[in-house]
Amino acid sequence: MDIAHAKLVCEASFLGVAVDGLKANVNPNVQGVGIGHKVVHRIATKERALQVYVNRKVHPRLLAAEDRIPDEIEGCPTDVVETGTFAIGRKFPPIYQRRLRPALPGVSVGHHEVTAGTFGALVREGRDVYILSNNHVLANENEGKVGDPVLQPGKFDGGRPDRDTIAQLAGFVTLDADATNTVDAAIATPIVKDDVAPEVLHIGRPKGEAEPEIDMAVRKSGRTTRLTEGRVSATDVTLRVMYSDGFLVFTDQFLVSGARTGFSGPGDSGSLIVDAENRAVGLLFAGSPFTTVANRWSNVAKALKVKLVN
Amino acid sequence: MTSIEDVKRKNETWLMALPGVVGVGIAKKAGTRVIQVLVKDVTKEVRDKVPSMIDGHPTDVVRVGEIRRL
Repeated sequence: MDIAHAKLVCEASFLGVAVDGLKANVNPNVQGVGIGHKVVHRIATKERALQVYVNRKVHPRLLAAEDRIPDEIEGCPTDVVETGTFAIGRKFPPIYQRRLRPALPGVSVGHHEVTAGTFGALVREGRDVYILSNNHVLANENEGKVGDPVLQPGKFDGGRPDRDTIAQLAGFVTLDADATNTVDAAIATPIVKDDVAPEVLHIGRPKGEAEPEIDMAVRKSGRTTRLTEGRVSATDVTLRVMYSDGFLVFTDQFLVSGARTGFSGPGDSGSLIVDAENRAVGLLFAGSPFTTVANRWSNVAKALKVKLVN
Repeated sequence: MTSIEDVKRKNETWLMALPGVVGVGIAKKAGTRVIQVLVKDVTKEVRDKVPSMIDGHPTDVVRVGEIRRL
């Protein structure tokens, strides 16, 4: 087999490059072609393969026959690689920052006037189902009104009200500058019920609840630092947290230290923190380069009168 | 001896009034529960003003920087 020749065939049949003796055709999903090691079960083998770069990888059965990339071209195996659209200086964002339907907890979400935060969990009150995150993510630090559009992805990630409104603000626990707070939490009603699902991205469905304990191993899935692991480093924490209009005092919080790198970053607000058995432990809302701060899950559930969807 | 939770609660107001103190919590150090004093930066002033023991419970001063909503 001649892989260089096979690549020419690809260039002609997917990218419309003029090659003598070949029919030029364009597959709109193909962004480029190259040669690399054949990857089997995520491991590169010694065999060489044609790499076909696509905007979005779609299951072959969902594609029209003429849009499918064959397993072999001119006797050379192919690998379809999702690269997004190539552009100068612009990276294709990770799934956490893209539009996703059904949206899963872990992805970017935000009130239409907020940059972006994280969809923490799907919760319910009776038969009503809600997206849960922080007040400062869904309710713009008490400024939001019930019914305001909530975008997925959030505004900072390109979300637009006309196209990406996934829910409407339903309620929030008011952040109080003159007293102590225990939670930074809000809920929003999905406009289309099937546009949301309860499985946390890369974690799965949360099961039950647990109280944070010092040294407990925890995880979270969030918009910015994605899936991270850490340990509870302190409980019963009273502390001051900087918001847009100054400091707010929180009581009954807990701290998490990252296992390897940091546990969180800006945009991870609203992430659900779970223990090793996927039990809900807390709602991430604040932090610094040194630590992460979370509300206790039981306080969040009590304040909003909600339960995890299971 | 008064429980560490009660000691922390009774002392957190004055501790948080110290310059540079961001918060107060309960943590573990070498297997012992301690009153953790969270500070923006560890300074000599904070070290001098936070006693090493409060009502029989050890304290630990920890740098956390400035805590912001994320």
